[in-house]
Amino acid sequence: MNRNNFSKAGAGETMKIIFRKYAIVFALIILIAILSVISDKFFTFTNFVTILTQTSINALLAIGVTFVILTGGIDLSVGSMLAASGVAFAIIAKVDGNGAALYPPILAVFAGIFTGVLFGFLNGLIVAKAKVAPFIVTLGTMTISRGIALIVADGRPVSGISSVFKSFGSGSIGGIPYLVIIMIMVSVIAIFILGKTKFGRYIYAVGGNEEAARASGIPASNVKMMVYIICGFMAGLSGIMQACRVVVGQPNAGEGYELQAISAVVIGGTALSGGIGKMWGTIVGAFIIGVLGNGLDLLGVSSYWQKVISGIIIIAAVLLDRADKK
Amino acid sequence: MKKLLVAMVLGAAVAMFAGCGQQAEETPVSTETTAQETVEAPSETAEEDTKVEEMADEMTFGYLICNERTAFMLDLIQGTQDKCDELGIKLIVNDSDMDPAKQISQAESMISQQVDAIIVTAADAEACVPIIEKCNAANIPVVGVCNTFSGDLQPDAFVGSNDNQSAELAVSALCEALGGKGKIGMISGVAGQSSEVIRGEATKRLLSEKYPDVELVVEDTGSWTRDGAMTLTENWIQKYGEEGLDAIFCQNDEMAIGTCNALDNAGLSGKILVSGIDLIPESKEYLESGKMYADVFQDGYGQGFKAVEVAFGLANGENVGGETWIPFELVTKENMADYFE
Repeated sequence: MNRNNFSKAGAGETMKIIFRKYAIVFALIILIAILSVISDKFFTFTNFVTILTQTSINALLAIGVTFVILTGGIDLSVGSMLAASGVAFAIIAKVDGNGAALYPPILAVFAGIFTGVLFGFLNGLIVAKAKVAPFIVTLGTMTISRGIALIVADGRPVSGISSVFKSFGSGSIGGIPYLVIIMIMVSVIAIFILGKTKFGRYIYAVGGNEEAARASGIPASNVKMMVYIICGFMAGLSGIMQACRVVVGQPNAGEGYELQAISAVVIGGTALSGGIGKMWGTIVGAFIIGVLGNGLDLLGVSSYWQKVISGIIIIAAVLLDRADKK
Repeated sequence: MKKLLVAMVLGAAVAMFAGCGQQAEETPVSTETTAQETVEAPSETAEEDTKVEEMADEMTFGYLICNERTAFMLDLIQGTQDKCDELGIKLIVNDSDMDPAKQISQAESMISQQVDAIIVTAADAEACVPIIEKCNAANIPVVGVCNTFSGDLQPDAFVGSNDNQSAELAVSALCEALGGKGKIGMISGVAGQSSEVIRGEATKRLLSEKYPDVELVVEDTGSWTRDGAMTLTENWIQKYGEEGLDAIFCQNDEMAIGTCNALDNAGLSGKILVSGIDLIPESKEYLESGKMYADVFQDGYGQGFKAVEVAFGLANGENVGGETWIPFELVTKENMADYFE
């Protein structure tokens, strides 16, 4: 954390700092180790592929939400945006009675992403320009986009998605599912944007102290607007991925996903007050949630207990993080 | 003519509101939002006003639906609507979003609109009992449809299907296919909802009474959703494999399709049998290809249709109370042609 610590500290101290900095990674490793010992089904290639696939959607949403939370905002609408995007995508990706696509596949992808970006843009516009609290704005768009998804889909799941997308949703290259490949690519890009670009530095600056950022010439409101658009984009992309995975556009998809995404961000060590956090932490956080859900299923722990356990982990992660900062 | 007048008055009101908004707000963006909001709100009331007047001459029924998010609920509404159209009855449908408190207040406003009968698909078996009390107090016939009420106070009539039977049909189809011996898993709906409780209990009762050699090795909730069941099945495949699990019973079709997809991706289609309940249109291809072994048809349309018939009788003072059961039907590859035209 503090650069001076490194130069002054001895080898033991350095280890300690590294351990603290990557505590969350160690937590994931320990979790995997424990589950591998108690369940003989856990530590297998196919099971890891299963976990990666199941986590891909939450990881993407969490990446989007991380950008927003780093600016001191919040986005509660990601789950609903995912549903709206999935529906928009599915409608365009439909095939006719003979199995022929009605529109070119790229148009369906565009429709899904565009829906997410549009809602993200609205969020950003109202938060950044009209200065309404992000919690309220995204609470509003959460129900608006859910409602629109239900209206457009007439309340029913939109089925009949072209087989191209079905094979995308369940297919793989060299044993790695396409969905996982997309997640890895997006993760790398997101880590790069946040860590290596000017825009990334602006995000931290705005989240740390908006007034100071503004005073030093950072276009704070544009930065804020942009993070909601990115978040909408991620929701759009996840909506398409979810629709391909379950081969249907569900207007009631993604209920509660926003909280799961926020959990991943929080477990990953990002402060809800903004300015502090790392993208890789979020991705590790998403995997802790994914590994835990899969592992507990393998152990036969009922999903009621799983809820209790994930709640405890969220609180524990924050306490751990706070102890680290002191 | 009257509509036009109302619209004009409203327009003036909106303009005034917008004017106030402009003074109060600093930025032009927020003014726009204020203006839009005010436009929306009054226009709704205008519609309601006109509705009430048009309906003066004919009968009006109110339908309180727990939610309109599933294909089955939409079938219920369709059946209700079609029978009302046939009888020349105006139908008001209110969606409570599974919130009992909201459903009660919707019932109150229907009562104050003096509808001739209320049909209700309760959002909660216990919390919605006040709806019956209020209807009784206002002397409005009340017909329960699909979802039952718990306790002594029951609606004037009830139309539904016996949920015990749905699970029995779906599970015994699996047990018979396994020759009365094997290991099955169950994916349930949202915990605590009456259909989840009844279907779960019926399954266990059936297994212990009729199929003692079929073991329920695992059960968990898929929350009625396709992705929930898919994730669960993927994990079960890792845990049990082909040897440890012979069949999976899903308490609705959305989950059954999620399960079928997960099995398909793992190359286990047809090796682990799947059954579901609801017979949604998409199940057709799954039954046809053998990915889904059996399905159970609940006649939502028929229930809604019958409910209106009963309510119409009650509203005309006929003695048609009591319970009407619309049977469930087992659908497999062999007889599916009768259900999908």
